[in-house]
Amino acid sequence: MTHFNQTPTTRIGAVRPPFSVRKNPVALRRTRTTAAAATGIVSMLAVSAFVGTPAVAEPINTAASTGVFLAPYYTELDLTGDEQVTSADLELLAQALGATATSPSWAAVSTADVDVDGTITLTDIATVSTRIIYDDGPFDLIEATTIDMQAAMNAGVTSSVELTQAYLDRIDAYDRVKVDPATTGRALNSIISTNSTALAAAAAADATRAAEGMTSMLLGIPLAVKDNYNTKDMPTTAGCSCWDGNQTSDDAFMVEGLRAAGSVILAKASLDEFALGFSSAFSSFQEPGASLLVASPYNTTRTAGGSSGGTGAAIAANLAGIGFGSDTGGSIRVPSSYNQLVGIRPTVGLSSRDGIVPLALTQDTGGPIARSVTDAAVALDAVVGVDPADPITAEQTGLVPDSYTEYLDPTALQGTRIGYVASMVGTNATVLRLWNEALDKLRAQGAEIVVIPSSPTLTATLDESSGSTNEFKHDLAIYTQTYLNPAVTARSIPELLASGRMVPNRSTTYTARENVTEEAYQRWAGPTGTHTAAIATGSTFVTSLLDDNNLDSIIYPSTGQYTTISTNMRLSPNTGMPSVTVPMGQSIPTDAGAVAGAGVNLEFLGRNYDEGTLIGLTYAFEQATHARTTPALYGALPTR
Amino acid sequence: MHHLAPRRSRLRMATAAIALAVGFTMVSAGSAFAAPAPAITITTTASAEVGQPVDVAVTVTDTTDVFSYAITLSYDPAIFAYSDNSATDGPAGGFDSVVEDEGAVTLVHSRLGTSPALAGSLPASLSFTTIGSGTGSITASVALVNSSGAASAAVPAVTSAPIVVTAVPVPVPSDTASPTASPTPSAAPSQSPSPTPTSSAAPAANAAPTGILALTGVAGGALVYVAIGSILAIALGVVVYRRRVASAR
Repeated sequence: MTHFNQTPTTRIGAVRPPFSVRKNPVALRRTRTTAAAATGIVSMLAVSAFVGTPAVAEPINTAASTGVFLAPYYTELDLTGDEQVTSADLELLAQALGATATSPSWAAVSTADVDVDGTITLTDIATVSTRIIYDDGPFDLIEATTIDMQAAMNAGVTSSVELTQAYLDRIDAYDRVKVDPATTGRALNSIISTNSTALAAAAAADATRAAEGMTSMLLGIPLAVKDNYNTKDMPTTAGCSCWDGNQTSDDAFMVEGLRAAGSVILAKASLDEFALGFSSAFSSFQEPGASLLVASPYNTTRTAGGSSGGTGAAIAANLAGIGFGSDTGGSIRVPSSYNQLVGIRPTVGLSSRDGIVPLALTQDTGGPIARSVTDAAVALDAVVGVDPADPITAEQTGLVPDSYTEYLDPTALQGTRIGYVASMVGTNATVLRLWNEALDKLRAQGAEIVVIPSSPTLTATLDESSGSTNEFKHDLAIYTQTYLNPAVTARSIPELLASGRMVPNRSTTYTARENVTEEAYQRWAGPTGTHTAAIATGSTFVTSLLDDNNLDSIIYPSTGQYTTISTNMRLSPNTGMPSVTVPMGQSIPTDAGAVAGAGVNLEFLGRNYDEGTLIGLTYAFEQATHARTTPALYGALPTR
Repeated sequence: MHHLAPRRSRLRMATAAIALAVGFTMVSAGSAFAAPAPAITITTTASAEVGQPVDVAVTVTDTTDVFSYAITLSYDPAIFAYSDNSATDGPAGGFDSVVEDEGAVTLVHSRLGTSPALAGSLPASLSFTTIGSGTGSITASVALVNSSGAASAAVPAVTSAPIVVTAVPVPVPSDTASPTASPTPSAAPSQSPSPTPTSSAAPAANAAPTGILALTGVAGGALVYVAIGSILAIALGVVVYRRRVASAR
């Protein structure tokens, strides 16, 4: 593994006298030289005193250490076989300076002849040097990716403690405050709880880096997870004040993975109460009868979407590094689209639902919501795995790559075939404009776009209704029995209703769910249930659609401008197949019906367990378009 | 691309005043409107006896946008040998390596990842052991690559003033049978095969064990020069004379 010490005094290789990282080291050198000129022999001898500092770089790799970020850009110039570029590669190359094809060392270094001029030159060394995750320049938190953060932490420019504190400061300054000067402006309301032990976790991550280097791309990264994921150090309210006291003793399986990767679980993000809805209305820690709405940081009069709206707003406003949501009928993808973010709705079976408050387990799946495809891929790596507590996860065996970061190839669209169904595009002017621009960009990147005719089976798959009505009561009871803190009194839907501590005007909805009998549940979601069969049929059919048309993916707009489009969100949950959503642009005033600040995402659906392909396609699209913008209202905090 | 060629001897004489100036000032070429181009300055120990070290200080001045650089020192391998681990590193946070070859040593430095490039003066220093007598110069050349990965325009190589390396004076044989034989004044210091460092003999004590550096143009240095030289006059005889010649330039 790459071993980058946090402090610049122990940079790769040699021992050297300590410098403050924020001084310009060149200036420091210049000072020394100038002093020598002025005072002659004594200062020259002082310079000579540094003679004896070892200058030969020591190899950092220890045996069996391998790279943790497998994007081709960072691995393709590896010479030592550890899937990363380190000082060991650079040392090998430096000692081969001047080598040509007839040199004995050529075989070991020819990969690094990047300019293909037949000889190893300083230019090649410079190029290989750029393939290390390291940056000792100024660090900007706004829009920082995991690569930016790791590079700065590896160089000692920032630390996990600093990142964590900075995000806590931003949550404090921005989340429950009306930042928008417009009279109709609203607060974000994206965060329900922050973690009082986050700084300690960050310090531990910094210590890990100092001792072992960058052990994971998530090491020290502060995360916000939807408040339906169990966390040992913060309550899990599921958006309901009735569950304010639900401090679970366990982490959700996915949270365990995130902590094991060294991330900092910074905060719990707000959501639609019990994940029901697309507008993120929640009652957590509110007075009885009161509720809050999550606002989009791009237009605070608009919803951030739902049900993972808090995650969407928080990540878009740079209140945390990477976020996690859950998706039953669109709840990752809707807030991703409304907030110009990348969302992954994994194959049902890739990420364990254990320890996430369920809505409909035939469709529920947890996944990342992030500002970039890179961040989403890094996040996904940490949350996969077979979990006996969620038996469907056994299906992933043998189908999960070492790292989804392998697929971060900007040329991944070349030679692909991507299909779409015309009826899924809709008629909104903004959506149509952005859609057509997106198709042009996909073609420019080497993809062939194929029109797929609609069909009764496809229509039926899209029309199949959501499982949340028929499954919620049954599935919630499993969670209640397994995880709900014994002190919580609202342990059933009637008790929830009786508490009066819930989002107002939901009584009818909750009552309807309470009235679903166990028999009705089995007829719907049992082994031979209609919904179970519909999902299986949908999976088979859409997979054959991909196969028969030789397609890598089917695309459609995720949403319109702060509104859903028809039944688009159902294609993934009604097949169990994965989808990844990525920004494709924003409305402009000349669009008919333009909504200010509205973003629209492009969604790529793929075969079961083919998240890698989807990550490649969306990464290539993202790198060719860079459609995401930063919300203007939530810039850098004034420096104190 | 200015290729590094460590296997070729680079003892050609440098042009103009830069080569022999051995100072810290540099004549900038070009008009007053243009930023000065990168240039190399080099200073070395003026002379040494075989076995004594020769220190070299090299600076590449007026650089802009340097992501990686390689400074090559070339020399007569019959006279000089690079002292392992003597080279200083580049600025903190980068990669450093020393590439040794017959008659040449290259100091490689690179920034890492997406780090900003360097600018201004890039100093380096290193030492050579003198392994044979003779007069030789050390020539410094540099290759620069910018943050776009492009090789910068060639910087003229610079050759130091000739360094005079003399054989260790052969001591007058004394009567080894008589333990009470009194040594001649000239023989006394020669009981040690190599003279003690000048720093320990000089009343104006300084810490460095290295030889005296040529600081032509710096008056104070010259005075110290002469003072040290006179103290060692008896012990070093002809060498002192040669040093005086060097300092008088």
